[in-house]
Amino acid sequence: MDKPRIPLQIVNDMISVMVGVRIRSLRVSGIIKFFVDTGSPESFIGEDDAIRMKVPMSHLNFNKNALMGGTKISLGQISGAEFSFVSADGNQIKLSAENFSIAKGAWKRDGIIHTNPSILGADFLKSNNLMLVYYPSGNLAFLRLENTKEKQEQTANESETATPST
Amino acid sequence: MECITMLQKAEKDNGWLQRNFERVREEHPNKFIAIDDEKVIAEGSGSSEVIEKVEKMGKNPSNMLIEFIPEKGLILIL
Repeated sequence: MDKPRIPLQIVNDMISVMVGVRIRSLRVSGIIKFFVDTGSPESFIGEDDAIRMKVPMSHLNFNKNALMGGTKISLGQISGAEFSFVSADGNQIKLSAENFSIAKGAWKRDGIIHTNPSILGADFLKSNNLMLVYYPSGNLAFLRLENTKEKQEQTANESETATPST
Repeated sequence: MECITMLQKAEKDNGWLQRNFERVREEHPNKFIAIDDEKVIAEGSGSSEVIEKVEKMGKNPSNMLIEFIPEKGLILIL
């Protein structure tokens, strides 16, 4: 059986995906456009997206800092975040992340206030066993859902059982 | 509206923006815009201004695509 795939959009050679986000602990939900960035070890929701979703920013503890493109941002950890994607065959794929953050940090350029975009980083791909396939010259990008951890453990156990004892 | 329906709508709006990006950029350079049903329904100099305008229309910005449109020559790098 084919492994489920999540198609990604490529615009100006940047990869993004629309995601339905629900944060149970904060009782908020919304649709967010995430950039898929394997160069980022952390995943987070950008400040503009968080405000749009009515995340109560004052309830979060922004105790972690990061540098992004030379700009310092603060990260506040959230729990109970669920993520819904549309698969290539039009079905809903639900994923979660034990640790996810909201980013806070803004800068001004030409009188316009900018904040960080929302990022799906390497940690999210790793914890959800997602493989990123990116073929820029073919304008093709997708995430493929590999075996779940349980299945991998099961496979590992089966391999051990199958190994003849000496 | 179900989550998958909202997601598909947002993807459709995002696709519309991709296809019409040059025209949108000419009309709304360096502005934040809100897109609903493949139309720009609000613009502003900040995302909070756009969110406010969307809410005044009786719409929910949580499920809407709100984007910054950079002027020509300005590229976004992560």
